[in-house]
Amino acid sequence: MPREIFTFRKKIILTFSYILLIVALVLSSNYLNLNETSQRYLVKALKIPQNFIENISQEFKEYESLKIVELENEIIKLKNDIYESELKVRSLENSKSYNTNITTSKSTKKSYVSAFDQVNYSCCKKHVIYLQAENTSGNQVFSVSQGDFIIGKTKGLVANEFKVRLLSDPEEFISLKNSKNFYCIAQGNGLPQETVCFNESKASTYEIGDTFFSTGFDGIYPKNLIAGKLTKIEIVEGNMFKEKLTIELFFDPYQSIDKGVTLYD
Amino acid sequence: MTDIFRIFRLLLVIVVNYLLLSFNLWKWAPDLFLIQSLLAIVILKEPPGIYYFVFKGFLIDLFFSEISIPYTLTFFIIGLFLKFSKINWIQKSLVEQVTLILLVSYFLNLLLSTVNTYSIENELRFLVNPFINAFVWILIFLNQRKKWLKNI
Repeated sequence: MPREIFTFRKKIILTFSYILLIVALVLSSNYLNLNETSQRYLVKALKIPQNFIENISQEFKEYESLKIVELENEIIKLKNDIYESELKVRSLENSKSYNTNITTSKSTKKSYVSAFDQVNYSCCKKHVIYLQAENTSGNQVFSVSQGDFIIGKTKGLVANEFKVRLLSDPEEFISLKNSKNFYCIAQGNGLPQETVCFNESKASTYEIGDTFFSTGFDGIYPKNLIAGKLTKIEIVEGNMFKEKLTIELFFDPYQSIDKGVTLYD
Repeated sequence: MTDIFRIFRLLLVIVVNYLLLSFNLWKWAPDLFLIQSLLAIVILKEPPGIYYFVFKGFLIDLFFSEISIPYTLTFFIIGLFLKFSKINWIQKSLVEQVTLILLVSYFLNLLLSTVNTYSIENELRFLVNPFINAFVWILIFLNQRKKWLKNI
């Protein structure tokens, strides 16, 4: 079949009509939040074969040695226990330097972590986990903590789950303070378990190892929740009085699956 | 039937691309969608219509981009080029093909990095990937050229 030859006029009409189609597709996908929903369903769909492969390998191992499987399961359980105990110990340690009694007028409810977006956490600066949501509208914003430790805040519902943006996400801000009354606004820097804040005051009242707590000033996070520990102080290039403080967040999403969390209204 | 197979193949590539992302190999891998499309173009006697490229790009964007622009726009340009160009794509010299692949890869990666926030580690892909794409294409071309060019 001979190739169709297009006139200049027809080329222009074709190009414009396809541009209109693309604009319509982009606008509708944005309006319906299609990208986020598709990505969530892709992760969910690929979780089933992943679990299937894990089950087969588990059965194969069981066939090889029942004792080893028992020991491996025991190790996983112990690792989970250690993580939870570590959080409790850190909470107690920090309560020595600061009063961590969380006094909030906010109503609370319980949920648990149903999924963690590991792909975006390692590839991109988008740091989110998902919580089981029941009888709630996606318009409400909740701050979320695991015990005394801040996780982040909800950002709508995706595929019937709460999407929670972690403090390490670059779009997430929080008002923090240490026990020496140094206050700052921290912003996630897109690196795992890190948030940063800046200080331009010459009288700095902080040092490496200081624990940072929420101030409650932002009206979203309750007062006195624990965020993390100051791990690095750097002078910003071009401004010798400006310092960048890197705070290592205590919440570890890799250990968070199926763990209970508290949502503050 | 052909369309069903095309969709099935695309879904398979989407799964493989997702696995590359999960195992942190994505930054070192060629752009599977681009290579798959180039292969389809040379294997088929008549290139698919522009609508095919637009919807293919849109579907890829839905799964791998925050906004449905990078692949949709790039594949639309590829579709336009193939539809309006008078010379069959494979009849162009290898140098011209590689130049086009480099340009398209840079354009696609520029769009991807603009609409998504990748980690510093993965931003390396945007420098390396066009060369990986070109290299993979040279290997495929050297291996298949006798078959593809026999009628010219």
